[in-house]
Amino acid sequence: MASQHTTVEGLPKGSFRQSMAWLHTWAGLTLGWLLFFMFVTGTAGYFDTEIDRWMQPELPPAQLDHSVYHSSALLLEKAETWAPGAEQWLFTLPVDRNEPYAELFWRGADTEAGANAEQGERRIDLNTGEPLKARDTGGGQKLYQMHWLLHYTTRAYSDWIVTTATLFMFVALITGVIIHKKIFKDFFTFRPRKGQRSWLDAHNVLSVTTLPFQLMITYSGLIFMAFSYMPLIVAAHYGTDGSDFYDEVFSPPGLVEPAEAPATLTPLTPLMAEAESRWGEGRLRRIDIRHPSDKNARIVLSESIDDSISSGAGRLVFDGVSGELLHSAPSASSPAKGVRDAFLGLHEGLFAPPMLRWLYFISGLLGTGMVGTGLILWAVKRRQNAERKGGSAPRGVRLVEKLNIGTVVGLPVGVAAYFWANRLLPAELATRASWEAHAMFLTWLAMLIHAAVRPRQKAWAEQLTVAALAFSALPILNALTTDRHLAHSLATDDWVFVGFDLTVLAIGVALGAAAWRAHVALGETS
Amino acid sequence: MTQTALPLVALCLLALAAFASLCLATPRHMHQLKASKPQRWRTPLRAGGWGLLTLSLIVAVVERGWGLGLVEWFGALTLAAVTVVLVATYRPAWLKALIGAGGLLGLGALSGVMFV
Repeated sequence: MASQHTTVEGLPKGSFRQSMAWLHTWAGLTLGWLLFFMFVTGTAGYFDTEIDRWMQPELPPAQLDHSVYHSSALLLEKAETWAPGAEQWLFTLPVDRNEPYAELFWRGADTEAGANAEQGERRIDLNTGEPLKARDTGGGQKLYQMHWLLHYTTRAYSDWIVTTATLFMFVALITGVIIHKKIFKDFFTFRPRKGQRSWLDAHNVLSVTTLPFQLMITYSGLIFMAFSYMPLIVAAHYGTDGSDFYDEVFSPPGLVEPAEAPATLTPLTPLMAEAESRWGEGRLRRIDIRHPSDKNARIVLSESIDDSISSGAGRLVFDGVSGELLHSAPSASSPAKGVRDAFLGLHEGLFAPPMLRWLYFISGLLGTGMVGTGLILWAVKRRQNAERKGGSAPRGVRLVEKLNIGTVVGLPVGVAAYFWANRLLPAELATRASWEAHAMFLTWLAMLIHAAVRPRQKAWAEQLTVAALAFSALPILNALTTDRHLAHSLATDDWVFVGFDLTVLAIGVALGAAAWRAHVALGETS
Repeated sequence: MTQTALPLVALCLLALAAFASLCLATPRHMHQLKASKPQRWRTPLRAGGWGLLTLSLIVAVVERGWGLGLVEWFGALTLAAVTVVLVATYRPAWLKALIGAGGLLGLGALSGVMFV
């Protein structure tokens, strides 16, 4: 990305590379802050379950060591009590980090027959048989879901916004590779404390070292959204409704309408044994029972997804009354579905064991840095050019600078506020989960306003200081508001809490180092 | 997943040695060798670096298969490359040691993977 090319302002004339530089600059800047948001929330998402558990400190340790036969019997008993006459009972068995507790979901239950609610979701303590109780929270899931659902909007808008951003990202990646002339020669080059040069080096190093991750994550992101932005391909064959298509591709085969004739559900144990003999012990993850008390009941068993990068699970469909195996359905029902499963699996990384999960998280952080340095570079370069010509930075540059401070630092402060709110909001507050998210966005807004009104360098220094304190104080807040402080977590091998506390502390220290540098720079210029 | 993290540890260490080696082969960092004729080392360092990267790729694919193996290999490469850039920037004198330590520990971990 030689600077003589990208300093061209406005519409460029000339070489292919110049055009690509222009495209890279504007594809990157236009939705850069949204991409930064997607990178931050997506990166946090690699530890969604762990964040869930930190945000509900009342919960016991993960209950992975119970027999699936015991878990399923307990879940069945609860389903019969709480959700008679349901259209569906879905049991999730605790088998890995993705599912630490046994969970029952039901819908279409008959409240007149004594059901608690028409639809519900409960986690069961396998030691006591009682429902697990914990504070209301959006948890790591809500934080992660913002990655593609955004917030304060609906799928009708967020799908298009996110898809457009992903497409811009993909364009920025490809053009970035084209305009970077010396990928190999400058592979190890980082020259700190040299202004624009350093930001360009940092942007290059972060982009090149994570390039395989970036290409994978962006391309698979587009595949995720393909049905949203290319609906006509499905519509051409299945009509504009498309539900037949989704049933055909994603639903288990052989599901039927209820016969409206009562029947007794077949025992689950032989079915589960059949599944374990096919998939191996401990590989049964879900039991999905459709129309449990009907003659046309169906039982779908799903395989664990943690031994392959592919996101899809193999399924066995049984007759719910006779117990006969009707279908054995691999997830990759077609080559196209297989490719989609592989890309989605790579994107989500649900298969990743702890160390690989950390590499995913680090790649995400570096990607966040790539977007952040790109945004900063845009402004630094233009300010430097303007000042070299003896002028001051134009209004557009100043606007970008303020958005950069309020987002690159302000958004992480908002994420910290999300965690603070989880510990500080009153437990009985009915809209607790919503207010956690409000706390995040209100804090982000406050940081944007702060950046708008404060002088640029002071705003950097002040916000970085706030960010450093907000993250590094989280372990202290946790120690003050729960009995699961760091020493306790270390003593009890509670690696989820140890991991969370130390990670936010490390982020706080890194932000603190940046704050210190910003304060030094402030002292040098004033 | 019952597999251990040892193959991935080996990948990271081998990649670290590989990138440190490739980094020392660049004109910008060659003087860190403190050799009288550092240019002589250029070819062996580059060959060693690419050799170690190839070895780690083979290890990844043999141990984990193409799918998981490639994911782990790329992940290890990213971590190692960023680490080497940071070392080259702030502690360039450590690059030589990084080749030795990464290579030896990596081969140690590798033998652990193969024989234990």
